[in-house]
Amino acid sequence: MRFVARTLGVVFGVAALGSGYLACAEAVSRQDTPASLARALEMDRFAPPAHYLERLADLDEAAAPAALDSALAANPRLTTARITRGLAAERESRLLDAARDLTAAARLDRQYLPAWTLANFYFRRHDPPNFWAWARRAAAMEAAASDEYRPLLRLANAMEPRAGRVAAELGNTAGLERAELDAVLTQGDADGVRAVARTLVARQDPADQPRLMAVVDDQIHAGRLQDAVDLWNAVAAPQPLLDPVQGRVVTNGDFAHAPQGLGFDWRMPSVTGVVSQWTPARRLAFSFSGQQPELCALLEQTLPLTSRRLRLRFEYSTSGWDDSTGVRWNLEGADAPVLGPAPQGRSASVVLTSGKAGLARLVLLYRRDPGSVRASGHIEIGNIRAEIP
Amino acid sequence: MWLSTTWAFAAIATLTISSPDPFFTWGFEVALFTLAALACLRTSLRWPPVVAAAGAGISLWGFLQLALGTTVYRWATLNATLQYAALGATALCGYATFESPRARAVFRRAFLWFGFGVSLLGVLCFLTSPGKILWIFPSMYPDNWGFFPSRNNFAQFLELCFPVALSEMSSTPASMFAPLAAAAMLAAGLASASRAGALLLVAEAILASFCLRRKLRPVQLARFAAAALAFTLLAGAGTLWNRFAQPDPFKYRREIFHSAEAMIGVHPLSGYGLGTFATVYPEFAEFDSGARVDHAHNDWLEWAAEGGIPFALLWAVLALAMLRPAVRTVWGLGVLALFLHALVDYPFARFGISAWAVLLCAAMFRHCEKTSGPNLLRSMRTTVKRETVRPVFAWGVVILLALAFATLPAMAAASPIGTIVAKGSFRVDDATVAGNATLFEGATIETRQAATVLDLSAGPHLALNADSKGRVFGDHLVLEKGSGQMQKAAGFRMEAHGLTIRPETGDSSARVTLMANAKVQVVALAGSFRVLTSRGLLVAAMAPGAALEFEAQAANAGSEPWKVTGCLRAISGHFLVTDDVTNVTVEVAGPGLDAEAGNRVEVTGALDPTGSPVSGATQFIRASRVRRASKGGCVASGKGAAAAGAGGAAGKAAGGGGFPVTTVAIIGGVAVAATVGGLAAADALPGQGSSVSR
Repeated sequence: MRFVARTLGVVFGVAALGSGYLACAEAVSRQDTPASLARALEMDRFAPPAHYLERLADLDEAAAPAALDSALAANPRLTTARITRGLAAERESRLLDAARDLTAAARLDRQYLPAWTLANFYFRRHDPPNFWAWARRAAAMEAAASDEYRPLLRLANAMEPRAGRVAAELGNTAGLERAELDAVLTQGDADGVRAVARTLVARQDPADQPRLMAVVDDQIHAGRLQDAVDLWNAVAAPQPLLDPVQGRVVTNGDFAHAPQGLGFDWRMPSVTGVVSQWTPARRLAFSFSGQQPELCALLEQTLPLTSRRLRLRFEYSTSGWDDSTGVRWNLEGADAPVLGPAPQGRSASVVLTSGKAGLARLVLLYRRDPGSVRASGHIEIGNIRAEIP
Repeated sequence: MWLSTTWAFAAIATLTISSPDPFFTWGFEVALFTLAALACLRTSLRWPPVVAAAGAGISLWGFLQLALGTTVYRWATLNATLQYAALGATALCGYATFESPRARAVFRRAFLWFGFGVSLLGVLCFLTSPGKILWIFPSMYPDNWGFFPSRNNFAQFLELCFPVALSEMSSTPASMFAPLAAAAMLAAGLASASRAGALLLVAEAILASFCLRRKLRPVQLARFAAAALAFTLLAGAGTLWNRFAQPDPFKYRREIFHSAEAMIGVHPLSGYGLGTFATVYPEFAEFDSGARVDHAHNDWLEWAAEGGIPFALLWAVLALAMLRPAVRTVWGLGVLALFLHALVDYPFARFGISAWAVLLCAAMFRHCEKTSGPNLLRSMRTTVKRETVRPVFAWGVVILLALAFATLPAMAAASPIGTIVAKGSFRVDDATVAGNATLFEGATIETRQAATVLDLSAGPHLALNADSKGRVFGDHLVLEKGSGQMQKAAGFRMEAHGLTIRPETGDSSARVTLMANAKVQVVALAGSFRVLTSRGLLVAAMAPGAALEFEAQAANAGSEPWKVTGCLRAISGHFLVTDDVTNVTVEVAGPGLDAEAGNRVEVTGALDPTGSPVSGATQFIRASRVRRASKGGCVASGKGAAAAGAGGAAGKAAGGGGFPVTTVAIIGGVAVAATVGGLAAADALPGQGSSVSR
């Protein structure tokens, strides 16, 4: 037993020396010069640390190829060294060597970097089949936010300019499609937006609704009526669909839900001196303090019109107003008559004429009447419908 | 002395647990191996054979892998092997230390006080030191717990000391401290929001209460419960509640477990080599979050993947051997909890935690030796038949391993212009890219900590230093921030603050730095360069080794003052001056020039845009004043004069140990004045002093 204990004691002593030796080598290597790294490697020659060799390759350009070879001999799975060696081979036009190193890196490391590097390599070599294979693998590994797909998508879009094809080529994940939608929106690629938005709509993920609504806004801004209506109808379901031909051009006219301020839904600009409130009673109320601007928009909606004339039916009630309210409808600059006081509530209709067919802006606005002071009072409005007269 | 030394090493390991510096680990290894070697020489070893075999196997397994060459990375395996051996050495030191009941009691008492202090400090730091360890050292996580950078490590430490406190409650019924300490540890564990940690702490409380039901007085339990409630309210358990409400607590862990399982499937017997999980994992990765996966987040799987299933079985033997002593002692229950926590994390990879675990193991075995005879297995034989033990043991191993594995499923084109490579990440067109990328025309590159190297297909080799930004085109780089360098830059140019820096020869190399106050510093490291304004006006022709700093200044209304100093040469009735600093040759006209031909002069005047300079000059200057700097001494050619200027000055200063930089003011688009300052102050060139030439 004593012999075993003594032997064990010696083993522990040797182990202590071993740990001390590793620490000394590390201390020497931290001088971070080619000479110190070489000395540290000499100390650790029983089990050479690959990161010392990789650092040596960084510091000493002349010794880099040999150092990288040694690093890979010490740790054949050192992907970064393999990629560095592969890219160096590519620079020197040794393309077979480059492909071999980069492919080996990707075989030993299924993560993003090797696949991304190979996708780039084959992109530079104008080799679409290999490019797509590695780009797909890179896309499959990029699990983070859609923002991080951008470099890959840029590369893929350069390889495949056909709109909407990139996400499909890369594997059609929701994250990719979102990133692709952002990319084509930034590029102003209308066909691409339409194509990618369609695939994203098909996923029916509520998380995508704000992004798709932003696309509707973009289409409206660009004046693309049909694209905007189609996408709205796909995204806004189960709300009643827009149908410009049949005259269904107003959405959320009964204020079944609070105005979202997106797409074809109502927008409620913030106005000093006016408090607006949506209530689940399907009414929208505005309280005027008398401090509001002389002219202000209270409520807006973009309408997809196929004709220039529009009959608007609605219900409203007022309180605190004796005379004219100063509130009126306006379609693309054309005013309707001012709404009169209606303490008991009233159904009303106005005919509005736009200067043009297409996307038109319907506004409920307040304008101080000449010769009067700014009004104060309360008005509620609801059940708004449109008809083509 | 033995006790205090061993205890101190474990405590220091815990206090330095947040440091990633391997020197701490190596330091502990050296200390513990030395202590263990002394222990071997001074004390008798009568370790229970099964435990001794398992411990020795764990300690020596890596050496076997190194000897047989069954590791994919020797250095990593050597390091891991030494760490496991150090754990064995710790156990041995503990075993040597804990022979007397008094030593064990002192150890437990000291551990209890230490744990109490650490738990209070942990919560205090969590509440008051976000993003920093102990209000001083930067932490990689926003929340940290005293010495612990991770909530899981904190909870694991508490799992070990909490049962000690509960046990102390029963042995010192009158003590107020024990229930207070136990309550503080439980509350700290719940506040830490480690899900597994919280569950295990509660399980420990229930199991310990059951085991000690006859010893614990109701008043002690009441004190504990009240204090625990108060501490929990104080420390808060809201984060834990939110974490339990998360939809998928095993996100990423599940995928890592799958990968580890696949690794085990490839080398089930030999493993890939201890310490190589991080090296091998990428081959089996199922996702890439951008963060490096160093551990399997399941020690059992990691042991099997690195050392093979036999290595994991050795740990299983050790864990099963702990079962009975832990339940008997109660204060050792934390070791079992740690083995269970190892199913979803890696507590045994942290020496500051695992050292306490093996010390508790050693103390438990000593305790059982004393209470059940010298050999634990012998004592087991007296109460349980071998025929009963064997299947229970075998089934235990199977169940433990099955549990480890079963948790898995349940939890379960534009043309490129070149390449860009960096050791780390950088931004391309406002998107983060890691490692390397293809360069497109007009791409904006932004570096952070790491410099990037840009290799253009056309040949130029560029570098953007750390914290720099630039827009890259096939034939030029627009530097927007920081500094950049170009080599082999024939046909390439760099632009900075409206200046264009263009090489004259193919093997030229220059560094351009944007400095404060819109200054641009250009250092011609090799070859010569021309510096032009945005209008194409030459403001400097830089010789190799020259360093100039250009400073744009607002032009005065009316005339543009122009000042050149150099040799005045008369050639076919025209007068030419090559500026000493900028090396630019201009034609000058005005009174009194005839008399100064052949002398070094300082000419002040204004640029005449209507005048056309003769061949060899770039601008035409109407001189308003000519002052002689020195009589004669001019060399024949303008280039020679230039050599006596910028390049010569540089050469002289370099020989003196300094490297001068000359400031050139650019007024109204032309270089008009020069002052000489110290390049060394700008830290421009390595290995050169801080002397300033004037």
